[in-house]
Amino acid sequence: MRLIVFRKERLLALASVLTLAFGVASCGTSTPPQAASSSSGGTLVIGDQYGDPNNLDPIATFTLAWGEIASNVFDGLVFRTPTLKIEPGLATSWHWQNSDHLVMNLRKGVLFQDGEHFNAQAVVFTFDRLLGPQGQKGPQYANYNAIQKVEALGSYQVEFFLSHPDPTLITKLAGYGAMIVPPKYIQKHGSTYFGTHPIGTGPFKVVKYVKGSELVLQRFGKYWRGPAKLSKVIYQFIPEDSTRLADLQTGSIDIMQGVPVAQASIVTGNSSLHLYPVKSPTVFELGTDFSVYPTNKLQVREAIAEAINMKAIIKSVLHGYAAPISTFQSALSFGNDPKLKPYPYDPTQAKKLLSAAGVKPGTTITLGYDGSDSTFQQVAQAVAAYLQQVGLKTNLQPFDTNTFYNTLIPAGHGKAGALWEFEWGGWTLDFDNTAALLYTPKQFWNPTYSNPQVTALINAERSTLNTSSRLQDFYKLDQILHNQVVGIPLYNTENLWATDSRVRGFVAPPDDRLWLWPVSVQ
Amino acid sequence: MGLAGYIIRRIFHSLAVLFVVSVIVFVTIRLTGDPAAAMLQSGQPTRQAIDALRHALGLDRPIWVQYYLFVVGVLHGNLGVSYATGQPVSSLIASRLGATAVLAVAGILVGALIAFPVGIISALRPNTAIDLVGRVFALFGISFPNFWLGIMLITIFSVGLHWFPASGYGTVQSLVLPSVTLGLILAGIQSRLIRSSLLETLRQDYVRTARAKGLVERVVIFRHALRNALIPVVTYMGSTFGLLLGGIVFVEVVFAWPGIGSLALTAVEQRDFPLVQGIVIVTAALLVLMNLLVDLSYLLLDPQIHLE
Repeated sequence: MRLIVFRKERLLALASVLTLAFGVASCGTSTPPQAASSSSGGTLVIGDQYGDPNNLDPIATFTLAWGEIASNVFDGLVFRTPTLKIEPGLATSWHWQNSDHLVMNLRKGVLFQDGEHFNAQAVVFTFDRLLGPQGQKGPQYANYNAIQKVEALGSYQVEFFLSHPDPTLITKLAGYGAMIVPPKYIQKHGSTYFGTHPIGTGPFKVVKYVKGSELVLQRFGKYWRGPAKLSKVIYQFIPEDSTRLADLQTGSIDIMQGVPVAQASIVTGNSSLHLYPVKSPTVFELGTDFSVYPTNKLQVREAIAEAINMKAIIKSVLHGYAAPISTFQSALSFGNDPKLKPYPYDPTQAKKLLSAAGVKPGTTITLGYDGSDSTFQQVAQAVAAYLQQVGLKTNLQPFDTNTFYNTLIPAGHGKAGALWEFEWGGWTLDFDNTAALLYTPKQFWNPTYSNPQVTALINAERSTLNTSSRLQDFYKLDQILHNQVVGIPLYNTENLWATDSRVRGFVAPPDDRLWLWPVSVQ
Repeated sequence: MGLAGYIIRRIFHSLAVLFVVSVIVFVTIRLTGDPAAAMLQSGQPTRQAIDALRHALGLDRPIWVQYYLFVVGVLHGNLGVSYATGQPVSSLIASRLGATAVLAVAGILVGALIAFPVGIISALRPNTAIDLVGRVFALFGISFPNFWLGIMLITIFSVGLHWFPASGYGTVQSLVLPSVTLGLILAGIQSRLIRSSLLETLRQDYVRTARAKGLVERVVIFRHALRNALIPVVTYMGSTFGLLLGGIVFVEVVFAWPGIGSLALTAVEQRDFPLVQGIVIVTAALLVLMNLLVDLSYLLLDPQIHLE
């Protein structure tokens, strides 16, 4: 599943380099960070990379901007911890009657932040809203369309009726569109008002919202897990990396999300700051066009994979905050075969393969990439240098983010290049979604690849809830994708978080869904 | 024709301009890609899901039907609902317009506070060392990219000296760095304009006359020369209001300033058609209004300019 990340990396690399230089120079002389105002329980200030989500209604958006805030305002029936464990949330237990019927028992004594009681009616209302006409106009509907309807079996029990099995449903109930909302409050105030004055059952309540600038949360005293340690949390929307880092250095914020890899040394070099690298679900590959020469040839794809020294690129361009991958999924993904090794770096073999394929030295191939991604631009240049060494000339072609992902890649037939940058992430951490969208025929992001064996494996894994048989299918699929070099896997990135040393109990979340209930400040 | 007739005629011109702008933005934004795909990019849609969302948003209807519904909405004061956020466009814009206005006014003031002394002194002492310093300053102001200047000011005055916050909104301190960044950029061009315009005015006969009749230099400069020299400067300031709104985007992004510029950037990135249309229409209306005010201000600056 791909989550939208709108980059603000448009500023010149020059500016970053200069900031780095000045930042390092000023580290030695800077005064200790001032503590933010501390009332009872303390106040935490977060520098939010993703900016203002503009609407906190769970069914209205599908962005990391929402996820970073809303997990602290709303609860789902299921809870996924920052270490990615699935635990009971507003549902205390559940069982599958068969692959199309799920029964969940609900937690008693839970209150919404306005005093409304949580019960089966709230769950039914939430899903009627998500699956009804209003939900269908939003981006969340597509996530949950396996659900036909939800019915109350009593005040504290609900049944989900599915139109087809969805092995990732339980994970999906832990987030985004499935967060439980208060029926009476929404019926009284309407959805537009709810979007900016949200009420959930979560540990914090939204008390102030300055559009585009900041959002203030206050501890909800009657939270069912018990009150949070912090009394107040302030999210400041600071999309520009250099500015956010400056705010962390001056003590204006306590937690910074999204430290650029090139500036991680500023944080590690400052004794009052901590850096938290965490493996993310985000992976990068070079997409390969099967309809154009020379990437339509297996030997050529294999040669390209073996011509690139991925370890060197990770060390020099990504400063070590990434790991090589063998297929287009992260180590966290259900379906990733840990025994499958990434392609070796072997330029001699690559040259042999190219000559066996009849590709003449000096042949030009186009590599398209997202022009707003300054880090990947450096990766692309390094790739071009490695391909040059085996005799392929690379034409680097940057594109506008949205045109690139939503027009050119889906168009296929070389529109985005014979090779293209492909960034893919998501929060369900199950290979199913990636595989179905990229490797079954005629999908939006897969204009040219088709393999009946692959399609059969994907159809098999997604029609059962049996985890061990699904895993076996995925491992077979991984092997085929690896042998056929369906895309050239590059790396799995780490997310870098930084905090002031006064922050306690912080766990960097791989999925960017910050969980502040256990966090405190000194 | 009287003042009232002139204003009415200008308002009709303005409405025509806004109509053309609305058509252009409506058509061009639709050439840039599919908002349904952009919205669902996070949700790994099947083709059917994308088509279903396009239908729910009315994007599968003919473009003239979509335009007709948009215009009917605008005439009823309804700019539509943002695709990406589900919030009314008018309230999204209203919540951001104030911040941009504050920043624009502060930037123009800072720019004027720098540009006038520099421009006047340069003009009064042409081709001296002090003039050279002023001209080099102007060149820097014109050549510096806004965002680079912004990051430099943050590095020096926030990280280094701890004088001002690097971001924030609502306090005077947080306004200082963004408005100085914007002001320095504007001052570069303005000080050059003031210098050349004043130099030219100082060569005019009436200035020589004013001097000849024994007026003190201060009166000659400020009452006679500068007032006339201001006309091109004011024209420039009025017509660059649009450029200012464009330049403000970078300043807003760098300083996390919650204005219309950063909102516009996100809206374009997300292919949020109704929000982009709303922002363009509203800023175009402001620009048209600004030009009208500039034209009217000539009457105050130079009584010799008459309405035909």
